[in-house]
Amino acid sequence: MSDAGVGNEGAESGRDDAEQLARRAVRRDRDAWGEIFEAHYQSVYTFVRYRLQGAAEAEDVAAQVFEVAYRGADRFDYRGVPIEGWLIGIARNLARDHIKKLGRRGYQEEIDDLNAPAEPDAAPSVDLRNDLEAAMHHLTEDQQTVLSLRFLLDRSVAETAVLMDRSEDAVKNLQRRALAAMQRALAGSGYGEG
Amino acid sequence: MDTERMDELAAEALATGRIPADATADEREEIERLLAGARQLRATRGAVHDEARASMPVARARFERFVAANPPGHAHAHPAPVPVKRDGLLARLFGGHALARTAAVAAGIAALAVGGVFLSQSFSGVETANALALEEGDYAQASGVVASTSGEGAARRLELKSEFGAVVVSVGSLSAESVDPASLKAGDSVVVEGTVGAGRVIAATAVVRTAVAVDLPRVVKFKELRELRDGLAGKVVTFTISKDGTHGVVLVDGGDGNRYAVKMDAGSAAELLEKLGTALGARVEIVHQEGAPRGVFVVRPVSAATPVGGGVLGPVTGVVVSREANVLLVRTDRGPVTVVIRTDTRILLGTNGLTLRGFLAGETVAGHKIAVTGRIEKATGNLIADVVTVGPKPVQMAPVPPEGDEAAPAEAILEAVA
Repeated sequence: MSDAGVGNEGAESGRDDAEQLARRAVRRDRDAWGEIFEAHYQSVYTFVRYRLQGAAEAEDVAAQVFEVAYRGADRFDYRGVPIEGWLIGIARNLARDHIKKLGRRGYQEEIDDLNAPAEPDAAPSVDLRNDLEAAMHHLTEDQQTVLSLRFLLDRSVAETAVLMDRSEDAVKNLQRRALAAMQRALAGSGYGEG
Repeated sequence: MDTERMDELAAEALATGRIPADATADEREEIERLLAGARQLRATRGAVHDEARASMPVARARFERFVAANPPGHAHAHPAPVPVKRDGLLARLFGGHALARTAAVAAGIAALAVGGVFLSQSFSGVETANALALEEGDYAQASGVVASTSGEGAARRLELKSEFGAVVVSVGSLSAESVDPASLKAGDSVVVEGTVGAGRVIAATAVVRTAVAVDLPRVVKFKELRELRDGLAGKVVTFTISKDGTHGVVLVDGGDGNRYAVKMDAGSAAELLEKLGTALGARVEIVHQEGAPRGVFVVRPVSAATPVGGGVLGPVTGVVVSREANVLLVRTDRGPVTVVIRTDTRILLGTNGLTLRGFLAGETVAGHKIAVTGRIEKATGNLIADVVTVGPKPVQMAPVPPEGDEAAPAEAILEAVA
């Protein structure tokens, strides 16, 4: 896991840098927020990507994460909480709200969606991505979170535990159950069990 | 099978990619399945990261806009409410004289867009500016040159080149009064009006051809206007209104080689739209508004735009006779017009005592003057609203009819207005 400003000079100076950045962020320092955006946008996008339907939704929610974070900057307690953890927490809430909102969508919005231009995507892996996206929707929120952190963002068990505020043992158990659940969901898409 | 042991074995295998040697046959079987799942996720990681990178300029620009609108010390770091101006913009617009349905469209040049507005130094690249111009949900009036066309019927699209960059315009659902989409071809210089949709494609409601066989414009950079200097004026080449109707953006050609992106308050957006029909091509002056957030200005028309396009892009104006849910019956000098308000319609309110929440909740607007920009639906003749500006009720007008009682009171209203 790497927070903006964390370099290779050692964990101590990295923590200092991260804390300095967080202090500036709390003051809504524009440059600090620029650094935070550059450092974390792609992670946030990746984190929410498979929870939502398509790239446009992921982009929208990921962008909202930074707006919400900026808005609530003065309430951010940076002591012991990595900025990435804070952003991921916001992303979880926003993705959850977004999905709830979709559940209440009306007829007009569905029509609008039908009329919206299709997203061209001819990548070879697009079928797998679509199926993974669909499979992820069968998982619990915690299962989605652990898979995103571990296998899309490549966070270690220890880092995932910090970001999810869980013990490492809990993360190990959760990742195993999440992978098994995803495999079961994918089996229905013709990927088999293995 | 012991759960804790299995968790540990799986964790080790997932971390190293190898199944621990002491795993039993059953354990191996399960671990192999887990490893396969992890491989599938990891196989798509690169594509997802590519997506994230591709979406970054747009998101960055959006965030920059947000930060610029909510500087440190700002009381509420969220979009500002629609400003209420002491002079009563809409009173000036609607009071005293009949609205000219100008529909002036401009011989505008240029650029689709906007956005530069909030560009900071580190966000001033053309790519970012282009992305800003096409923020989803913005209502936009812009111009450019058709570089290519594709599709037919509802799938008809144009690739438009402007000083702001290239954009795609969907022209499959134009207003009945608009140009025949099939007739548009490469080299046409056009003015478009519409809403920026998914994938930053402009879903045009109207397109007007202004010239043919012109050279493709060269992409230029725009400067964000943050500090006002005296006497700043120029010609509007692009006009947008934000999705929530709280502000707009104009791209202004200063005529001295400088181009500015100017964030304006909602009142200015309403005035430009209603007074001129379209802001494109209009000469405007930019002035400071007392108490406005830094970087937000008042944009006033100095002269009307050069009328082109036969009024296609101009608003329909009239008096609301009745409202039923999201459908307004509006009496205009062309006759009654049914206006349909959709979820993405921008509502601009002035000093009329109405609130957006009240309006959306169904508060009556009968008797109010109104100006609507949008698309006339061919099948029904209804006007699908992109932007609705609600004016005050005419002064000393006849009593507003109760909702649903349209006939006689409507005539009384019209007489009072006249």
